[in-house]
Amino acid sequence: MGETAVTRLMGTFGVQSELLIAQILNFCLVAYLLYRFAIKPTLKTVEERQKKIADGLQYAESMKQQLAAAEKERLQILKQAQEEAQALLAKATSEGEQYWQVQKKAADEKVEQIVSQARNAMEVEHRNLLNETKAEVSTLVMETTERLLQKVLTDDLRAKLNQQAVSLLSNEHGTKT
Amino acid sequence: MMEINGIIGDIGRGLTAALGCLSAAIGVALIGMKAVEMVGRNPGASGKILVQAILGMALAEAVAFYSLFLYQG
Amino acid sequence: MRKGLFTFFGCILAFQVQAGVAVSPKPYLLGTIGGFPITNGMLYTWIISLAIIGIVRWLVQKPQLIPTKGQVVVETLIDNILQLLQPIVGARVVKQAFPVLIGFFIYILMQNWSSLLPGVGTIGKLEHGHFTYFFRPSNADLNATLALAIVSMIAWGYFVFSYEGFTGTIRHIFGNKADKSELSFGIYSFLFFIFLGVGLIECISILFRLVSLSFRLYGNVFGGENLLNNIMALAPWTKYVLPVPFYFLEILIGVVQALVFTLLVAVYIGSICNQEEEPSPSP
Repeated sequence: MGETAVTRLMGTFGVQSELLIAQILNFCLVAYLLYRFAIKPTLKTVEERQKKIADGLQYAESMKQQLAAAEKERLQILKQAQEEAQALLAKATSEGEQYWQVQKKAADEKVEQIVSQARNAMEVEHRNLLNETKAEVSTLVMETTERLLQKVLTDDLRAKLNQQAVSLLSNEHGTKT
Repeated sequence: MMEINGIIGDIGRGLTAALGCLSAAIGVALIGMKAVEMVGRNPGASGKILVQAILGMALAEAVAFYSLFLYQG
Repeated sequence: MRKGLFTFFGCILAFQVQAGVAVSPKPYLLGTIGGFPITNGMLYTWIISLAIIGIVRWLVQKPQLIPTKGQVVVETLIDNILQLLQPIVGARVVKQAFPVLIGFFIYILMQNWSSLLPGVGTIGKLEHGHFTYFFRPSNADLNATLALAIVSMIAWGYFVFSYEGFTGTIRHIFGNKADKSELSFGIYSFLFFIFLGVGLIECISILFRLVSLSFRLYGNVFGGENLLNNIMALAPWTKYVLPVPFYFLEILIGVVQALVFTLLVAVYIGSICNQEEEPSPSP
């Protein structure tokens, strides 16, 4: 081995310095052009896309959270409104009941009053009517009896009859009332 | 170079190439065997093992090329 | 026109003649331009280099956020190689080393695969019974592979010196890696000599990487070319069927060799620059 062996080897495989340098330059140029115009922009794009995807995911996540919060809020508001409505309804019902009660009571009282008034009036009227009737009947009886007795009866008998009639009337009146 | 009955040949060249290729083949075979064994034991690491095995095979294979090309008769 | 047709049939004839003859280990000289020798290997290298740039540019075009199909191909390739190299080279260096490594991978892959195209090694001219073809696979030319190895070693040197510094590199190669607390002073100082020897051996192995990288790639592609040539010439009636599986083998070898070259360079860089992380294999 030595210088000669190396040169012989290089000769066997046709290695020449010009070709070697040309190949080196060629490769360097190709690698540079590839990296500069194809690989670098591609890597950049990949990075950009990854960033964008990450941003999108994050955005979606935050949106989801916001949505959940909004839903929660909505439910809360709904619940509150329901409660309020319930309370309002209960209040209205109780007030209505109370009002009804009051009104009913007032109406009842009024009815009672009217009825009692009517009854009183009726009683008074009845009594008046009865008294009137009594008086009229007694006078009527008296007149009739007088007329009758004047014609037929003697004074004695007349007195007897009068007395009997009065006692009868008073008796009858007493049982009736 | 040696001459037997008027036939000129280079036994050294053939022997070097043959032994070099044989050893390279044995080396590659051993590496392949072990790699398969390892993948069988640990299938999850097949990617790493593949890289190591290819590297080892390349290094073992280089022996064949040395013996083929670098022989100075 | 007639001459062209004649040349075309001459090529087919030449192919018939050429099949079975072992492929020459060195490229043929086609001519010179201003004293610069143009060989068939060099010519094909230039053609494929232009094609690589054109194809990749055409695939990528203007990178968009919503990728086109070609862009997906390139993106997947780049991403997979990056994922593969990251643990080997180490996160510290991978950003700087990635351009050159991906360049190696794409360049070698394309050159390997393009050597399987029809017409490579078969279109040429026949002169005095000697067949000279115009297109020789780039990596079947030791100039190209040696150039790649030299570039890779220059890149290795650059990364190692820029990340470790001169003294760091020296300490890494020659330094005493024994644990001081576990050994007595005598043995520890004696180990310095051992590690000095180890460093010397490592220096030689580093120099020999140039040879091993270039000859591995050259041997595979040149051997593959020889293999296809001989299989084609095995028997006239098997000519159209028998080489097919070997072509598939060569496709596989093309990927594997591109990967091996890239991985080995990555390992060489990572073995010195990638110390904090998990230890990587240092062949």
